[in-house]
Amino acid sequence: MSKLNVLLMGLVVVVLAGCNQSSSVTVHKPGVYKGASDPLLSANTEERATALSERFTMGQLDR
Amino acid sequence: MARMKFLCDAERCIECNSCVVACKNENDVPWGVNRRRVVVLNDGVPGEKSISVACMHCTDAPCAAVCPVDCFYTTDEGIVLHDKDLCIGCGYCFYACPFGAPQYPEQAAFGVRGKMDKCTFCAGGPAKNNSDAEYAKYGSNRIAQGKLPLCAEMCATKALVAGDGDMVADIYRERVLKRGGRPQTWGWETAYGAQG
Repeated sequence: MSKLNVLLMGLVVVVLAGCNQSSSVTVHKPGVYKGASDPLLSANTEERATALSERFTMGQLDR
Repeated sequence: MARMKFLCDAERCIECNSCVVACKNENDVPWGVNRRRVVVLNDGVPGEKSISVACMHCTDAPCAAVCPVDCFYTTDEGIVLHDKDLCIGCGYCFYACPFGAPQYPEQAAFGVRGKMDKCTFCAGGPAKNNSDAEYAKYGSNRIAQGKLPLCAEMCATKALVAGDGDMVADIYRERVLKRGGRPQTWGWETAYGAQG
C-alpha cells in the first residue's frame, strides 16, 4: 500500500469522524421551585374547581 | 382535579384582538408587553386563519426546565406561574417556549431586560390572593375569585376557550362534528402532548 493510499484513508477517517453524532439526548428536568409559596395552592381546590366548572358552563358553552 | 387549558378555534377567530385588549386591561399589562396576541396564518391568502396565542400552561413546561433560578411552579390545576422576585430576566424561558410567551419589559437604559412577564391564566402569582402587591406584580387573580381568564370569557365568537381540559375538548369535538372538516387544534399537541 502506497503512502498516498494510507494518507487518503487517514483523511477519509478524519473527515467521516465529523459526521458522527451522539444519539444520547440530554433531558433537562425542572428543578425544585425556590420561590415564595402561593396561597392559591393551599386554598380549597375542590370548592374552586366546582366554581370554575359552573363558570365555564355559564359563559363558554356554545349557544 | 380539573386541568386548565386554552384552546383557540381557528375557524371562529375573527382577529378582532378583543382578547388582547381584555388581557391588557384586566392585568394592567405595561406598555411594550403583550401577554396575549393574535397571529394570522397565511395573511392575505384566501383561507387565512387567525389564532390567539399566549402561554399555554404546558403540561411539561419547557420554561420551567431551563430556568436557572427555578422560579417556575405549576398549580394543582396545571397553571404555570413564576416568582418575579426570583426571576433574573435571563431570557432562557423565551428561547425554550414554543409559543413565544415570555415577555420582558424594558426597565433600564440600554435595553436591559426586566423580569419576565407572561400570561398567568388570570391566577396571579406567589403573593396574597387579590392583594395590591399581587396585582402590581402579576395582575388579576380571577381564579381565586372562581372566575376564568377574561380573554376567553369575553371572546365574542367563543373562538378562545379556557377551562377544564376535558370540557374544552368536548366543546371542540362537538363543533368539529357539526361543521365537518379536520380538527385543527393549534398548539394543543405541543403544549399538552399527543394525548391531549
